[in-house]
Amino acid sequence: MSATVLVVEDEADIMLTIRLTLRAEGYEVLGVTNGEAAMEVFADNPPDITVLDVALPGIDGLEVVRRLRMDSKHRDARIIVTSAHASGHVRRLTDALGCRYLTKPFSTKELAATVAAALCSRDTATIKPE
Amino acid sequence: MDIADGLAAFAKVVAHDFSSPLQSVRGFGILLLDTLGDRIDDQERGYLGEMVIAAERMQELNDGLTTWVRARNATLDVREVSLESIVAECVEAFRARAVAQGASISVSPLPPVQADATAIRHVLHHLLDNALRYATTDRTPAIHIEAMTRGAEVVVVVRDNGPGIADESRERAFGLFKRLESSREAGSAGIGLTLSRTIIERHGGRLWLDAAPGGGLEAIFTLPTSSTTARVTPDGSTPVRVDESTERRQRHQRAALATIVELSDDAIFSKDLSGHIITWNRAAEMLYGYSAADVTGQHVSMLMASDRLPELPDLMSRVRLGERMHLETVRLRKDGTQFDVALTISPIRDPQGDLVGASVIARDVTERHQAEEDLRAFLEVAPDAIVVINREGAIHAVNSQTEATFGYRADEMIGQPLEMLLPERFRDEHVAHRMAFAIDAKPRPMGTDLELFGLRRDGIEFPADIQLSTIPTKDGRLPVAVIRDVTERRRLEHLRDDFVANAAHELRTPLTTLAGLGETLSRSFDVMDRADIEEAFAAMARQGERARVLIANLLDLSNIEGGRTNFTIVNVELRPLVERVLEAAPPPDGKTVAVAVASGVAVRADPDRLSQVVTNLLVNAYRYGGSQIRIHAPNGGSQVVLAVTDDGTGIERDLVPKLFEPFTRGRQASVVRGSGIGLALCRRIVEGMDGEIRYEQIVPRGSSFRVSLRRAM
Repeated sequence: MSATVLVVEDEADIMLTIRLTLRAEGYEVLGVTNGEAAMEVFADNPPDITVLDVALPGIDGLEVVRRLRMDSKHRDARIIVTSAHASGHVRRLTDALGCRYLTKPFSTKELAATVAAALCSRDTATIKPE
Repeated sequence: MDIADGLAAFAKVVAHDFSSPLQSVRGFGILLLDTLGDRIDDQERGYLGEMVIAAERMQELNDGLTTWVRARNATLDVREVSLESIVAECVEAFRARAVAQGASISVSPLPPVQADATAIRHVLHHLLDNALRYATTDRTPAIHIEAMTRGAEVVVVVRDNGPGIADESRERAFGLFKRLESSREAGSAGIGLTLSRTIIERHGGRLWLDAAPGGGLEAIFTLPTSSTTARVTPDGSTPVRVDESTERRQRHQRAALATIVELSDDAIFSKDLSGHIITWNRAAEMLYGYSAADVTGQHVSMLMASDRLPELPDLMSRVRLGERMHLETVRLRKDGTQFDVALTISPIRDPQGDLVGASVIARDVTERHQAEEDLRAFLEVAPDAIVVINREGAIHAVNSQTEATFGYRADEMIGQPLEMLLPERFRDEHVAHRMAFAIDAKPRPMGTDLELFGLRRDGIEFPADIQLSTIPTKDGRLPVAVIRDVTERRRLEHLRDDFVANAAHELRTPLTTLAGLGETLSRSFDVMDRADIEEAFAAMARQGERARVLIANLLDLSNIEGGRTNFTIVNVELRPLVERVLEAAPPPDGKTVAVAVASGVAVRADPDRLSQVVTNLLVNAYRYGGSQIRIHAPNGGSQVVLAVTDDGTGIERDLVPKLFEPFTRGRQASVVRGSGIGLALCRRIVEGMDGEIRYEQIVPRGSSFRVSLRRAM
C-alpha cells in the first residue's frame, strides 16, 4: 500500500505541481489549502508525510507544526516545510521543530527525493527514544 | 643787545671760560692715565680715555667756534648736511658723561637739513650739555632728539625729563651770561643759549624753549629743509650710539626701509593723531590719485566719501588708543570714484613709547570682492547645502540651500561647530573624518562606506551625502562640506529594491510550475494517467501565460514611466469599446456584467490603451469582486467617467492608499493571482492620457473603479 502525502498549499498551480509529481512517484496525495483543514486531516486520518507551505491564510505553516508537535499522537509526524522566504529565522525554527526544508522555487526532482528520504528514516529531531 | 655785540662778548668769554678748563681736563686726564697705570682696571682706564677724547673734541669744537666768531661776518657754509651724523657725533661726545649720569640719549631718524655743519654741531652740543647739566637727580635722565618736516622747515626737538623752566623764566634764559636760580650750582658757562639762538637765526630759523609733555624741557629749533624731500620713517628710537659701524648700519637700515616703503606695491601712508597725513608713498599716489604734495598735511577725511565719514570718529579714537586694526571699507579717489579697500592701521610710537600717529597700508580689493561675489552667486544657485568650515571646525559660511536643508538661519549656524548639523551618534566619527581630511586636504566624499545623516533644526534626521573639499577664501583655502539631502534618492532606491524583489516573487510561482511540471512530465510521463498529463499541460500553459502577461506589463510600465510610450489620442466612443472588451473577456460562470453606457458618449483617449485599462478592471472584478458587475458612465461634469463596479466585499481599508502601486495585493491574491501590477499599469496609462483613476468603496457593499477622461470634442 502506497504512502499518503498531505500537501498544504494555498497556491493552486503549486499544489497541482506537487500533487502531480508525487502521484507520478506513486504516492497517495491529499491536498488542502489552509492550516485549519490540515489539522482536521490529522485528526481524522493522519498522513505518512506532510508537505507544508509556511505562508498560509489563517494559521500559518509554522503554527501548524507547533500544534502537531505538542500533540502526543503527532509529535513524530514527518513534515517538509516549503517557503519562498528563505530567511535564516524560518530555517532555524524549522530545524528546531524537526522538519525538513525546501526553498521555493524547488525542482520536482528535489521534492521527490526529499519525500522519499523522509519516509525511509525516522530522524525527526524532536523524537526521543522511549 | 644785538647779535654782533653778543657774539663779540662771546668771543672774549671763549678764551677764558672754555679754553683753559678744557686744557686742564685733557691734561689731567692724560696725567691720571699715566700715573695710575696698573692700579686701575681696563674699564676704568676706558672711562678716563673717553674723558680725554671728549675733552679733545670739545676743544676742537671750541677752536672752530672761535674761528667762526672771529670771522663773524663771514658767510655761513650752508649746504645739505646730514642732521643724523651731526647728532650722532654730538651724542658720541657725551657718551661717557651720559653713562656716568646713568642717562639715556635716544634719537629718532632725522632728515637732512640745509645748514652750516660746524655751527649746528655747536648748537646741539650746547643743548645736550644743558639737558645733562640740568638733569634731575630723582629719576633716570632721558634725553630724546627728534625732528619732523613741517612744510619747508625741519623742526628739531631736544627733549629732556629734567625739572624744566617755569614759563615766565624761559625767555630770560637767553640773556647773555644769565643763569637761572635753580641752576646756579650747575656751572653753566652762561652764554650757550644766546649763541645757539644767534646761530639758528642766522640760518633763518628760530629757537625757543617749551615745556615737555610729562615734565622736562624741550629746546626746539627750526632749520630750512633739504631741497630733496625727506621721509621720516617712523620706526623705533635709536639708542646711544656705540660705534661708527652700528650707526652706519642703522642709517643704512633706515634708508633701506624708506626705499621699501616708497617702492611698495601697497599704498602706505602715515598720519598723526589728529588724522593729518604726514607721509604718502608712490603706490598711494597710484591708488588714490593724489600726489604726496596734494595730501601732505591734509586730513584723511579727504579720502572718504561723505557716506563713509561716520566711520571716522571711531577709527580715530581707536588710533588714539593705539589699536591695530584691519578693516574693509570703501574709499574715494581724487577723480571722485570709489573703490573697495582693505586697510591695515598700525600705531606709530616715538622712542619713549608715546603714540604719535598711525601708519596705514591700503590694498585695492575691488577685484577680489568681485570674485567673491561671483563665487557667492554660484554657491547660492548650487542645489546642495554648502558649508564652509574654518580651521577650528566652526561654520564659516553657508549658502541659502543650507538654510533650506537644515531649517536654521545662516546667522544661527555661523560660528557654531559643524557637528550641530549631525545627529549625536555621528559626531565623533565625523570629527575623525574631518581631521583626516584636513591633513591631506584632497576632495573626497565622506562616509562612502556608511550611511550618514543630517540633523535638521526640528530634530528630524535625513539621509545625507557629504562631500568634503576646499574652497579659496580671503582667509586662505578652507574646508567645505557639500551636503545633499538624499531622502528622495534613498526612497527611490528602496522602491526599486522592492520592485525587483516583488517582480522576482511574482515570477516564482510560474517558474516553479513550468520547471516542476516539465521535469515531472519528462521523468514520469509513462506512468502518469491521461487526466493528470492534461492537467499538467493546462497548468503550464496557464502559468506561462501569467509570466508573459507579467513581463509584458512590466515592460509597459517601464516604457510609460520612461516616457517611451506614445499615446495616440483620438475621439473614442465608449459604448462600442466596452462591447469589444466584453466580447474578448466574457464573464466566467456565476458572474454577470451589465453595461449602462449611453450611445454617443465619447472621450479623448488612445483606444487600445483604454481597452487595456477596461479589460484589466473587468478581469479584476471577475477575480476579486462580487457576482454582479456594472460598467457605467456616471455624470462627471466636464469630464467623462467610466466606472467598473461590483457588489463584492470591497477592498481592505489598509490596502486602499497603496492600491495603485505595483505589487499591492489583497488577501485573496494567494488564491486568485494576477500579475500584481495591473492597477499600477492602469494608473500610468490613464495619467498618460491626462486622465485620473480612483477607487470608491460602495456602501453597503462593493467596489467601484472610476476612470475620468476628457470629453471628446
